Amino acid sequence: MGTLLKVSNLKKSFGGVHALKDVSFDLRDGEILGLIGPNGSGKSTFVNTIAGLHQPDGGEVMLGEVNVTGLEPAIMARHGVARTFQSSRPFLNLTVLENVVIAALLHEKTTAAAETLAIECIEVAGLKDLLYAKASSLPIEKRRRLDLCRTLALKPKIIMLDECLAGLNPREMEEGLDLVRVLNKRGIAIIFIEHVMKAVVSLCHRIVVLNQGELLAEGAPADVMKNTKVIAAYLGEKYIHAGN
Amino acid sequence: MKNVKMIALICGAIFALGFPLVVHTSYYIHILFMVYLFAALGVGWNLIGGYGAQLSLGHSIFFAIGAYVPVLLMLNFHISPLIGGIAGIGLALLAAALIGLPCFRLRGPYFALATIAAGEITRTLLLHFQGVTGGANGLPIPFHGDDALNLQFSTKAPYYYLALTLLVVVFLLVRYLEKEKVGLYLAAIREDQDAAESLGVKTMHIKLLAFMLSAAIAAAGGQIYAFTVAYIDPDGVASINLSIEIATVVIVGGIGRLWGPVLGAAVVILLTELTNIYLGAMRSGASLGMYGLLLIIVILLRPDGLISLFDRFDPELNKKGSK
Repeated sequence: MGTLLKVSNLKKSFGGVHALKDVSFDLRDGEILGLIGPNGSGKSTFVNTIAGLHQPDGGEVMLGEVNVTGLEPAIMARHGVARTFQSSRPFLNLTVLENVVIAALLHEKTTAAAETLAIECIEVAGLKDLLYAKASSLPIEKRRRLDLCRTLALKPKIIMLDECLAGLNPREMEEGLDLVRVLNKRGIAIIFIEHVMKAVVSLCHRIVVLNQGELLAEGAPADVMKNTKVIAAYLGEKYIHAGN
Repeated sequence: MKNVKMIALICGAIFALGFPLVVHTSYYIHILFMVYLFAALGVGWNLIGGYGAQLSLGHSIFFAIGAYVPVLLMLNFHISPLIGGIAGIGLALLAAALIGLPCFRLRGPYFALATIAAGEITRTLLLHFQGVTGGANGLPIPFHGDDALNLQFSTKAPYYYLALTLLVVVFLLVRYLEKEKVGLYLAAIREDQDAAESLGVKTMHIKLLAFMLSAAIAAAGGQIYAFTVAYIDPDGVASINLSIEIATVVIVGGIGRLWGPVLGAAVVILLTELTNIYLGAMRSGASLGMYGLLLIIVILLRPDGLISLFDRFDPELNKKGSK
């Protein structure tokens, strides 16, 4: 598998807080990469910095051969890097269809063509019965689906999912994971940020762990879970021995 | 229901087209002229202020440019306002770009404050450069007999039709844009700018485009107003009151709604005239107080504007709502 996204020594500070300190890793073609870490470890900052919402203080982001470091969000979307937000952010006063059409217009010239693409994506996301429902009327689970649906309509190479399962019950979570797998099967590489370990382990091909803005571990899910540094970061030193 | 709408529209058209043929009192014609003018200004303002939710309180800038440029070109260089008007619109577009570029980096109330500042700067400049603009004395347009090329008519009716034409053109333009990419992108910006950006919407470009279009419409309105009233001065065409009046028309009628400003203009202008007739002794203070009162009532009771009173009769809205 080739490298799709190469992040080298990414740095970002907010005043005196070093949210990201020299983070480097690769995302490979067609991969689902889990990004985990305790609260405040820099996961969302990482997504926001790649997506162009924050300007990095240093480091480099390469998308294939293209240097995309610090490009603004709209340009990143054009380069095929899509993202969802930690809190679901649909356009509340617009219908499901309008929400997705806006995304589909990135690649489609006319609203009619964008509508066709949007309906296709809405079917994939399982929201077909809700085409004309206002986003504000949707429960959280459907809103999360709508978030995913909008990113799909951008025809992206990469989707960064920032806790896209937050607020869902276990059954909804399983269905959400299935949807992520469907997107991945379409050839879209995924960076998956999540707190629920079970979800991460069952979904991801590889995991990177952030702690206090630094890369703590990287590897296959099972290996990372056994890594003593990871256990220490999550649960504290004394659990290492208990775990063994 | 569609038929009822169609019949109402036809009746409205017959009324608007026939009014000056039946009624010859220029005062009444002038009131309707003002309704159309403010409806057109409101529909144009709605592009950026309503659909894009970027509250501009500086539209008097573009109205003033649209008024001053063709008048100055005509008085000083004998250039027909038909050409001068195009120059005015061009300059308004340029001004909108120059104001929009820095101001659109600000969001919410900060953007509104910046546009107020830009409006006050424009008014002060018009007062300051007396040699060109006539300063506070303003510029009267001398009447030399009927002359269509110079927009000089001895009756009010031609101006009435000019304003009506502007309204129809602007209305059709915005109705078209509403359903197109620009309209959807503006709605996305109104709802959530960061989310819109993440979906590839170049928010700065779209906001600038809408602002410039809206400025061009205000400039066209300014030109028609200037030649109708045959006198312009900074307080008349460049004051913050004018900017507020345009925004009031839209907010009262229905912000971000196509018919909102049309209804809003009818209500606001007619009420203004009534206040001036019955509370004339208090002069402009009375109509400003009336704006305030009207805004408070609408925002408290009908935050979606008076046009929302008709929503229950619209089957399309109801169908989508219940699905």
